[in-house]
Amino acid sequence: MFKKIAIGLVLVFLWLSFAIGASSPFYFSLIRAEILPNYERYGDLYRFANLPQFKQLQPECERKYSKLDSSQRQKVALYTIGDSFLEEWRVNFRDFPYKFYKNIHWHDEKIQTILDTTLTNILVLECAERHSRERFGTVPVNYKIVKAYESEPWVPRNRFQRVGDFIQENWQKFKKYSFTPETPDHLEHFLFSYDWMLPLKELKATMNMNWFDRVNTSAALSKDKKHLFFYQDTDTTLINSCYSKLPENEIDEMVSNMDSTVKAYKAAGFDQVFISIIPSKASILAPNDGVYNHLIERFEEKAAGKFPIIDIYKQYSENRSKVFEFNETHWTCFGKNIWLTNTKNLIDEFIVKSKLNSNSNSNTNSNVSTLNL
Amino acid sequence: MIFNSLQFLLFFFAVSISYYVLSPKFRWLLLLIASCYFYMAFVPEYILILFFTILIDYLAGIFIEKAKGSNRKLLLIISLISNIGILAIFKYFNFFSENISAVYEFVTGQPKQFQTMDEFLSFLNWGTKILLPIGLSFHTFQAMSYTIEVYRGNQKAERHFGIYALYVMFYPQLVAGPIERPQNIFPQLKKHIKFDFENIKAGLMQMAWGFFKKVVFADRAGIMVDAAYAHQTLANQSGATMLMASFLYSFQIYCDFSGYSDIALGSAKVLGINLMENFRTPYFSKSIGEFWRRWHISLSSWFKDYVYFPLGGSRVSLPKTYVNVMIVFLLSGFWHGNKWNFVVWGALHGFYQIFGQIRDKYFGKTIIPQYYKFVHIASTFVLVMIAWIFFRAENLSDALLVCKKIFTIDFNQPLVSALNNAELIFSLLLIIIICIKEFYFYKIETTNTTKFWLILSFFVFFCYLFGVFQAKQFIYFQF
Repeated sequence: MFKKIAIGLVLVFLWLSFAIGASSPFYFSLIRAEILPNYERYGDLYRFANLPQFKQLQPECERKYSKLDSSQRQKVALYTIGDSFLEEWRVNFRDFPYKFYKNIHWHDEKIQTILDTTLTNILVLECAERHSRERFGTVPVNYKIVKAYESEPWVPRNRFQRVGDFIQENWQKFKKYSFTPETPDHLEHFLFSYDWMLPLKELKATMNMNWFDRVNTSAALSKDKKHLFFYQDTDTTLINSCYSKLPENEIDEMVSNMDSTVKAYKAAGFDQVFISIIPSKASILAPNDGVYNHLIERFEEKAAGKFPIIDIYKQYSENRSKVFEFNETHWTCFGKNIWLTNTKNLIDEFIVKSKLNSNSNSNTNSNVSTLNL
Repeated sequence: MIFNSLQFLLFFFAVSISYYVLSPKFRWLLLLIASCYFYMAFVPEYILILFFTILIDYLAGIFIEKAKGSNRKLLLIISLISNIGILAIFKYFNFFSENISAVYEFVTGQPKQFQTMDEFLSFLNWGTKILLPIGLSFHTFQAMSYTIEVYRGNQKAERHFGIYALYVMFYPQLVAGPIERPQNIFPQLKKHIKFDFENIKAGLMQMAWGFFKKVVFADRAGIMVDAAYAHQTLANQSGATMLMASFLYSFQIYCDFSGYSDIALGSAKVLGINLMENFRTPYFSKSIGEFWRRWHISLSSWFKDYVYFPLGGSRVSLPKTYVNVMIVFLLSGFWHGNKWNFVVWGALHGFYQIFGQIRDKYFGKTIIPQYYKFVHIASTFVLVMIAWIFFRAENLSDALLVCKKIFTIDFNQPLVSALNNAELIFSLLLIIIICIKEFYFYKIETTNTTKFWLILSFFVFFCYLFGVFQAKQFIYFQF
């Protein structure tokens, strides 16, 4: 009897683990329920490399405007298109003094949005340096500004088409629930990301580094072995690396694409659009480990006067050791505050300017009226 | 789903335990569903192609058995054409299209690009990109061996569709063999298999050894080989680098493929099913002929049974025998891939084989003294290694460049390796360990249970600590 129960329990565990690995919805529901430990509690780079010298619990940053109530908030609606730097748990509504904040990812396409015209609508396009060549290589359309939400136009379908649609829809559902390319990551997280398992992972990582000079392929060490980077930052075979060659015409194209993007969003109803590139960790901490391509400086120089930029590169370069977490590809609380402050300053500056403009316009208009009278 | 993944380990243990818990009546169903899932984990849609070939061959088997006279042959031909047709469409369409374009240009002097498969699909509005269904060559050959055996009267047509589908899809050997014969598999699939712990221990041990070869050696050697053979940087590599990379590749491909076969055989053995042996220490062969009796045995014997013997084998005139040998090896090369370098690889082996036969005929088979054996083993290895260059290189011109670099080696040029010196020495040490193990302890003894658990734990721990886990597919999956 005991043997049968034991076999039954083992089977349940095995099939359950298998299902968690294979099914993204199942896996994410466990994360939402906080049944699985935070995968990146010691930093994303530690998760890849497992080197004990880069292990440290992620600090909680203070949210400057968490206590503001609605009446104290500025009449600004801030929309962002961002990447992992603006993920909800890193940056959210409580970091801004505005009435409205909405962030979407670069991967999201054509999110229908109705702008509140009683507020000043600001859009920030935030992009990590390592992805800027891909993302600024086209004119992205993520927000679709509409007056009223539009639904898909109804197209009449015959019986065969309906059967086809039904099969297609359910096949996609079946695939989503049964197969995912992220299975290895899900399983690794579910089975092996607990604290008591980390020493074994660290032993393997340390041996590999000390004996074979290798770290996990998703991470890379600086030449002096003091800093840990994401592999894309240093792999010169990829355009993501800050050491990859960057021709002048590509910079021109990126600037021109962003110029078109800014104009398009302004025409769609945004009052102002800002562009922001967050430097790669390697650009700041190890620019001499390869031939640095100076992407940000070159981009900002060419874009000057065309569209406003939230520039943090200079401040980051001046505070090298303080702006990036040593176990993370992302910023420290200090680094994040630089970005938040610069963003807020630029928005404030814009609001002041636009108020002055509207005042001078209304003065001119009232003068005209007086004259007419 | 690749064998060297956590997903497979969970899948394997879950399926194996469920298999023994279930009533024998339903085990085929469990294995069939598991095999479908295993295959669909690569690209789910390709299961439809697999089912199409399964259905055709299932029906062909039944009709061939019922038919009489020339109808039997006709049905066999229809079945073979549909199997080869699928292979031709998915694997060789682009190859033929490119070569017809080249010949057209050569003859007429005018460039003309015939359609590639992707363009053809895009023309039909079926998408724009096509991938080769994984393991297509393996399961197609296995399906063909069934209809041929039914035609020859060596095998009864299988009436149970599920059992027939499982014969083609049995997950341990679905994507990279061994290419099984119906006479070996059908009786085992129908048998009531009892739980046998000795069998399970032997299977687990064979799997552990397969994992060791794959993740500890093959994927480690692959780091250097991939970097050295990369098309973009090949021109800058030194002769010494390419010699070391080619040497490592010879063992990488062996450990990769035989590692896969060990995992396949071991996991089938755990389920109580014995698959045919695919490797028998091939690098200890004293001739190329012997090498092919020890390397990828299931494919060699397939070609022997279904191509070489029907062509007349060695029972025809000597020149005809040589032609037959060459046909078999060219086909074998072409089976591996749709590039000319695979054809050259096959031709080289064919040439070695014919040359060996001529040598034996005119100079006689001398009894080799014990102390000369090493010379024969080493010379056979060198010939095989040269042929592997054509197998590994991205194209024919790259392969010729590698040969040139190796044959005009300049020892003043440095050996540049993606592995540091310690790891390179470690890799060479692993080769020695693998050779010693395979030569002296071909099968690891598992009768003593305490010893079994100790050795198995050691393998698991060693594989974890020293394994290179980059979710790298097995080399033979691409075929």
